[in-house]
Amino acid sequence: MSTTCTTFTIADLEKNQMNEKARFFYDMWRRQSKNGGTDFGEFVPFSPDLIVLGKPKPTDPMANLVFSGNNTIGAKLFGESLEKKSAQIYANLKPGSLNDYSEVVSAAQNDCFESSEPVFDYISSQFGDQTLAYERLLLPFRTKAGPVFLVGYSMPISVPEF
Amino acid sequence: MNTYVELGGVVFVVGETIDQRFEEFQTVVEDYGLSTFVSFIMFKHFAHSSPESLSDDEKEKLIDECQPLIREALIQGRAM
Repeated sequence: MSTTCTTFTIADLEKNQMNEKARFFYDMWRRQSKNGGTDFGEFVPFSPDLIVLGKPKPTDPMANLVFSGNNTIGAKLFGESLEKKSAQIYANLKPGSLNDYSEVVSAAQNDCFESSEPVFDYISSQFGDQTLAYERLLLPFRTKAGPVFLVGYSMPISVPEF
Repeated sequence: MNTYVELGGVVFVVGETIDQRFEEFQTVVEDYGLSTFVSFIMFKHFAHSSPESLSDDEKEKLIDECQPLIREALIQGRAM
């Protein structure tokens, strides 16, 4: 199995070379994070499409998932309450097919977390004869007390059936 | 006084009654600036984001569902 990740630039985002809804989220994030803003309440109605991640954990890549909306790719693949099951899902798959995938998706999460800048990328991974492919937007949210969370929106291109 | 304790990766909000626990929970949420994400979780489980209209059972469920979020905030907060 191999996973590839192609990262686009912020200029790509701003030139409308992306999904309309992702652009909408990016613009909302930019507006709300202006001048160090920490109130991201406008995102609440769209939360079914979003995930929230804490600090990436390289040795346990799925353990930083703290919220998964019901319309996300993860929810479609593994069902609701993914944030409570993610560590177990990963544990069950170790040392198998998700390792390479997790390393790749975690690297971009880490970039976003460390730089506090959005990341927009394209992920493609083979699971047996099936392909998981999607575009992903990661937005860093810094809370007023300091902790940083990443809000992710993924646009499915190909989702396997496990 | 700590309003929460963490044992074995589980965050317990201190309080004898659900109203006390929920009040302390809201203090932790406010202190760490987690309101937006708690609203995400409320929206998912209760289809609204108004804490005032939660039943006691819903308050307990919300505290439980927010475990991963609060645990992560505490971990990051300690590392600062």
